[in-house]
Amino acid sequence: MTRKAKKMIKKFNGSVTFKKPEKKLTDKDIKYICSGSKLATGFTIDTLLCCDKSK
Amino acid sequence: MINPNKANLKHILKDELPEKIFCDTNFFVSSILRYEIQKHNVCQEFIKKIIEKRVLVCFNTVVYYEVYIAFLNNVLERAKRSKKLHITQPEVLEPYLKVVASDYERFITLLKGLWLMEFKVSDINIFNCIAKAQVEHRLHIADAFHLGTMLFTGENNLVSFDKHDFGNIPNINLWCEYD
Repeated sequence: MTRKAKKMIKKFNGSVTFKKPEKKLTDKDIKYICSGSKLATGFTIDTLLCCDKSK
Repeated sequence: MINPNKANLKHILKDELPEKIFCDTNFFVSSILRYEIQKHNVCQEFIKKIIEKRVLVCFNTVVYYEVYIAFLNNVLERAKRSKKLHITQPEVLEPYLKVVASDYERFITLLKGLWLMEFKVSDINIFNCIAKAQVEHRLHIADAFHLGTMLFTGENNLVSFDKHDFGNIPNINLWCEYD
């Protein structure tokens, strides 16, 4: 944790929750994380988040 | 050449990472769900980088809600396409919610491996920054939450694939390039 980050935590205390990693993620963990569902056909991340790109 | 009226675009894998970075929901969703494969693979590499470099990952807690909505929309659309139209019926919805739970568990596992700083809107000054971002940049509410929170902290690095909305924000580094 850098000094700058510590300063940030102190400055925004009350609005911020700081969390240290609970575990060191291995390549296997990352592979698991990134193996979620396939998107429904024709969907993009934007449509899932309901972004209206037509404005 | 840098355009002062636009965001400074950064390459997710090629540019040197800052010590703190704000994350938009689409980064988390793109990391977990598979479809836009190139983007998904880049997110996977990016996760490895932020872990290795011990980058402090900052976000507004609205991310938890948005991630759930994205996962839910994904399965509900599938339910509709498989003609199970009465998706509000518990017996129809239940198996789909199991898929959402499984995706959400991956999201939680990811967060457990990162240095995190989660911001909530419990301070009127954060709210003011969000409102200002929404009005000045004509952003959607959730986007205004992300940008407003970041501007409140005085930071300027944001990872998001939403170049359409954030690409026109001056004085920020938008981590969105991956080609």
